[in-house]
Amino acid sequence: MGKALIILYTLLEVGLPMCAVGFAAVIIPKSSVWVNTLWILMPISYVVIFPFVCALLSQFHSRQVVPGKFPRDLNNPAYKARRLYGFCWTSLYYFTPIFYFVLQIDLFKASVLRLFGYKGSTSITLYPDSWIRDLPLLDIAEGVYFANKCTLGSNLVLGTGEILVDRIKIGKQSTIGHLAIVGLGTQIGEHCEIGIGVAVGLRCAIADRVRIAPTCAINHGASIGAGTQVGAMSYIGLRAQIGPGLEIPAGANIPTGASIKTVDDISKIISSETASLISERDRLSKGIFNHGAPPADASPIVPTDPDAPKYG
Amino acid sequence: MESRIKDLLLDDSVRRATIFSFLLGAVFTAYGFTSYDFLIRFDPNLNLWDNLWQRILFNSTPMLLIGGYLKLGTASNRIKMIIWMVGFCCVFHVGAWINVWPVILSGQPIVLAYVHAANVYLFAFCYVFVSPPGRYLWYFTMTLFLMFVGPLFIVAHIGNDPVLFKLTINDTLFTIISGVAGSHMIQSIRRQVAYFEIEKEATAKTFLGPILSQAIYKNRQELFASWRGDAFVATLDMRDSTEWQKRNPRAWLQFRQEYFKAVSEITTRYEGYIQKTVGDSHVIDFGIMEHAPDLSELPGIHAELNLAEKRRLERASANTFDALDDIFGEFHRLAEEHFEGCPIFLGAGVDLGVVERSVQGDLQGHAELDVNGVPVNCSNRLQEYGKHILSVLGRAGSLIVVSAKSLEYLPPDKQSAYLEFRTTANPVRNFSNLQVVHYRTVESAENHSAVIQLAG
Repeated sequence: MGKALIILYTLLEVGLPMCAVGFAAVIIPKSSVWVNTLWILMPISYVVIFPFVCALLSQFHSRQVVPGKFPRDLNNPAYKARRLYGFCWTSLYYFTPIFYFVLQIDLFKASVLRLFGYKGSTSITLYPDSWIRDLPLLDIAEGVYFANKCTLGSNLVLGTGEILVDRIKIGKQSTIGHLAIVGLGTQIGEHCEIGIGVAVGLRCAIADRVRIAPTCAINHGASIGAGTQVGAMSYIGLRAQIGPGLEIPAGANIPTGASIKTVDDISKIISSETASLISERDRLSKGIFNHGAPPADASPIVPTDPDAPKYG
Repeated sequence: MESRIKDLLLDDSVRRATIFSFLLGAVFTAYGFTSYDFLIRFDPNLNLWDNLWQRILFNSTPMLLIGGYLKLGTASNRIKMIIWMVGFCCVFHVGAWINVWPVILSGQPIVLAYVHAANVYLFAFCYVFVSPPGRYLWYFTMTLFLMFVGPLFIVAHIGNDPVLFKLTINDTLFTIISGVAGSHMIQSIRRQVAYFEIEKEATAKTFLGPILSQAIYKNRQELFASWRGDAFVATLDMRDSTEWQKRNPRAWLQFRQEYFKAVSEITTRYEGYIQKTVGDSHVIDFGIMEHAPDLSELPGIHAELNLAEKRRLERASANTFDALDDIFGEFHRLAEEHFEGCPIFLGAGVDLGVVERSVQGDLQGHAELDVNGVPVNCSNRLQEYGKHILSVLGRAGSLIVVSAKSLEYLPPDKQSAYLEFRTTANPVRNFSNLQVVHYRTVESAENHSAVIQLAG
């Protein structure tokens, strides 16, 4: 049934705009002015009608796009609804030139997004290659900026053959940087800046005015307090808690479950990391100089590649 | 504070503008019927439908759409207010062109006498009902002048009836000036109401505590979500409080008040949650109000999750015992201050185990964020059991009794401050499975400091 509906939807999505244009060609007077006008309006009509057909078809399923964990099986009603909704959305999303036009005209954008079940603000900046889906589950506030190629991962396919779906909430005037990824269930506050290439895991809580510098990794369930700044290429461990108003230095490695509430906590973490690195270096060098080879349990630092260029 | 008041005032005005838009939607249609009788005098060819459909299409429908947008739209209140101001003036302007201004311009200015009263009433009603706040009042007035009043004066002038022209100017200006003044006064009253509302919110926050305040006022609904997991529960009770209260009720009341304040401050500092106070007792939870989303659905991260959980419990353990140290210290300091030399003591019981945090009770009536589970009862029984331990030891003093499980996450040097007590001879009430409990006596402020030093 699901597969049959997909075929039917394909026919409707492609066919209805064509039929509308064709119907106009049949009913208009056959004078040259009207025919020429029709030729000019034909592509514009298609651009306008196609997104609305996709959005209207998605209406049958948008209410069933809900958070949860579902088996990826078309016999499952929730998954079937997601699949059909997703089909309608991706029909538009992957039709980049049309989607581009949709996003350029505010009224057009607002109408189409609303018809797809989106309930957040339509005063947002979105590019055709910023990946969003499950629009009914997105709570995006006014002025949010999604840079090119960022991803709002409101669903996650698991290796168990299931799919995990949850909401994503982003506060007003926040910025999601180029290539950044936001995991499902995550809440981002107001005026936040998620830098280039940052990966925010599942169900993280990022409070207002947080700035995360490029290429950081925020593991699942982590929370970051208001006004905190995370330095570039830092790693925040699973369920780690960072307090408000802190500055995490670049390259920091906050371990799993750690709680950083004060500047002293940061210093302790950094010094313990440095200490462990020094101790590891000492252990390795001791092994090399005493016995001519690293200890058996030492992990290789540089992969041995016979074809690798040799320096010095 | 000021920006919050402004937000509240604007929000209130937008809400009223929404209602006003819906009302106008209905009124314009009704006017299509009521205006027909006099308009036909000036245009005998006019029929009712001609007068009606234009008002429905160009007045009622836009006003209903504006009302719908104000109600359902997701734009900011600032944008909504601007949309309403411009939209209302546009619709009003368009409405005037439906069988009124064209009649005036065709040389029958007397029609103005029929419609003028309705205009003036509408202006006054608009200012009083919506009363746009602050600078929006001036923006609205300017928009109204630009889009309706100015053109009206021009049309009235072209109508070439000096009496009607003067009448229009006088009445319109008088109404608008009165409307602005009235609106300003209404705003100042609403401002006071908003101030009281914010003050009420601030007062409520002191009673709700930081966690419930965040959940309610910062819209962190996840704090109300049901959660099940390991947490520390501590029960504290003042010993012989009834007797002390009878002996010196006023001093006891003062002491109790200061002690409760201290407990509240210390608990907040150590990220605990005062679940309940009953008489002189506290039930305090540690480790249940953190951001701990459910990640159990994700395969392959169990080892890491376990590590995160261990660290969470280590943190909660440190918070629990540090908070107890501070509470006992503060209790003894206050006892010495209010009842110098008197043997006033505090008892505590601590247990660790699975609890469930959820909103309990009738949501329509009285509901509370509650924590339930075996540790809640066990900590209370351990606190009671402290009396038995003291009688066995043959001494009086403040005592902390903890289950063996609660000490698991404490560093060894701190664990050593707690002594073992076998319960086989006299089991803990309802918890006969607890073969061993641990205790620590804290007899006075001096002793307390000594114990803390010992504990490291």
